[in-house]
Amino acid sequence: MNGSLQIMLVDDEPIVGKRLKPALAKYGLEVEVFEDGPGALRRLREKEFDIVVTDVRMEDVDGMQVLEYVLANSKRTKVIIITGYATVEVAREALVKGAFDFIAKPFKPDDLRAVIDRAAKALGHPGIRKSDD
Amino acid sequence: MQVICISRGTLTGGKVLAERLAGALGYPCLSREDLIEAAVKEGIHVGKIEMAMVKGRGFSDRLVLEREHYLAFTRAYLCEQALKGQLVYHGRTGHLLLPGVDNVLRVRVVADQEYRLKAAMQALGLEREKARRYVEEVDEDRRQWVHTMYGVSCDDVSQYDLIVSLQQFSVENAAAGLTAIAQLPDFQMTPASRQAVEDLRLGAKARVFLARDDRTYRASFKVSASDGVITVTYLPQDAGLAESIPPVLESLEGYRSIRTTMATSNILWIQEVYDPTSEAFRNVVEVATKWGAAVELMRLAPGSAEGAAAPGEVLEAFDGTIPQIQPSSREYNGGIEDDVAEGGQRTWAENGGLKQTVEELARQGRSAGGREVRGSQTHLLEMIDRSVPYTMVVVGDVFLSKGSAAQLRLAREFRSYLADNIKTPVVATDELKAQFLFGKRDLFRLIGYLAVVLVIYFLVFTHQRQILSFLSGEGWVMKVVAAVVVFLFVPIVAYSYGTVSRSFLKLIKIE
Repeated sequence: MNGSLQIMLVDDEPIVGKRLKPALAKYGLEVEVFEDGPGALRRLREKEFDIVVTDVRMEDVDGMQVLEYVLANSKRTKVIIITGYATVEVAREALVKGAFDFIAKPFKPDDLRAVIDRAAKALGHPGIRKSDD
Repeated sequence: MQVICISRGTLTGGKVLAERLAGALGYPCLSREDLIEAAVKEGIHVGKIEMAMVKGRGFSDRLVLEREHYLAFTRAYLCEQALKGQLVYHGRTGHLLLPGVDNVLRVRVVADQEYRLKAAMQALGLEREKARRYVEEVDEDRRQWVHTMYGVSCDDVSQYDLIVSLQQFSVENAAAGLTAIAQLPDFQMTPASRQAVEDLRLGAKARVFLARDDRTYRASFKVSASDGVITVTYLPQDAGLAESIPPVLESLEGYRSIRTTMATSNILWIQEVYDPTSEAFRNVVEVATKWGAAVELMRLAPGSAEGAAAPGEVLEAFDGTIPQIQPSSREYNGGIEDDVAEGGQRTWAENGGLKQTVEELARQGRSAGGREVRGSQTHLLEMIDRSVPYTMVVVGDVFLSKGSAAQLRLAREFRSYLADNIKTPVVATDELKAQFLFGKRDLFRLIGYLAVVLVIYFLVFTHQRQILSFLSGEGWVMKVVAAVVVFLFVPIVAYSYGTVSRSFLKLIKIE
């Protein structure tokens, strides 16, 4: 597996996508950003992503529901949870249910890239590295 | 004012009981989740602290400050709610949030594994095996949390007034029982308990003010209050902030005066390469813990202190209490910070383990910061801040580029030079254990000399007649012999007894 990694980023705060998308794209990742859970679920029905990065707290459909949907519909997609309201209970619930990893905000794009790199390798991808400008 | 704190384990039913109890008493009910919500709005990175438990990571210097801010904020918040009237609080550590307040009813709710597994399966939709994993892992994380945040074990039953198992009671009956207990005189407010809450609130609020202000948010403080007098203790490296403390607290309501003091006990540890996993580190931390001291690191850059001409310079400073927060990170960024520029972070090898060791000290609440310096002995001496009340200077491995003989000689000369020029004891790291910590050698010494002392006492007190007869012997020859024997015997007894006493005091950590 050597093509570009397909990443879905779900966070209801626009600033998160605005800051993370370019930081991930710089490493050759193809990122689609969604600011609501229902929109993300609709897209997941159409396309299988390699990695889904989702916030937990969102209106209508929360990150746990996104996680459960992905796990029920795609065996290979890795889900990374990000949240500013992390507690051990939420983190353990996500990990026990099958999330690949859990990152508490605030974090640096580098922190997320490191987790994505591990997830990519778990998918048989050689890993991510900075694209040539 | 009445406060009932319900400490709940993972899915033990404590939340339901707290809500039922609050309803029965007509009190407001506050949960840990409410506190976290408020703490996150305050800008505290609670999630980072929580995830340090899940991922088994140590606390960085930044997280240590987050912890201080979080503890102060939650305490102030709870005190303010309590001072408004009655309150039922439920969470992990309700029993620890209001220390020294006598009328708080502290209840722990427990349940057996089967009850909790079923609750996890039902509440989270998990299979049995996953539910078991969830319960065990969260239990362990919570244990870690309580230990890390408060330094106690949550399983210590002496911290609670009551332990309730919801297998034995229905929620309704447990709530009815607690309602009756809450009416007992022991749990009613007294002027002393109200004052204790006022003091806790004031101290905690002052710490929150210091964490909020741009002038002081990067430093570590210990803050307490008594009868309206706030005492702020800061570390020596933050002495420059002392003048800012009163203006920062000026708008705080309810205080009479502010006292600022510098922490009085510090150990300066000079070395070329630090390793937070080494025995030397453990020994230094153990001594610091025993003395309640903070440890300041001064890393000698390789090649330092050998010549006389090299000017002194501070190459890099890591403040154990100053996080590497860029100003922009105080502006809202959705929780996504800027990456560190490439080359912006030196590796472990490059900084001689200084930063990692400062972080580990900070995690253990013993850091007074660290810096990397270079220069001749004279200049290094000038870089030791004489206004800091050092209790001891520890010199570890220095001059590592030299051969072993030269290394030993230069290190000995360096220690002598320091001892001659600063009015503080200077010891080598390898002498630290022998001098200040109780080891196996001390144990053997204690046992050996204790045996000698006991044998002497036994012989003396069972042979008094013979001894008195010997001491009161006739003739000058016998008198001289008796005097010589006493002259030799007394120091032996004194030395043996002194060694036993010294070793015993070392064992019980009193020197």
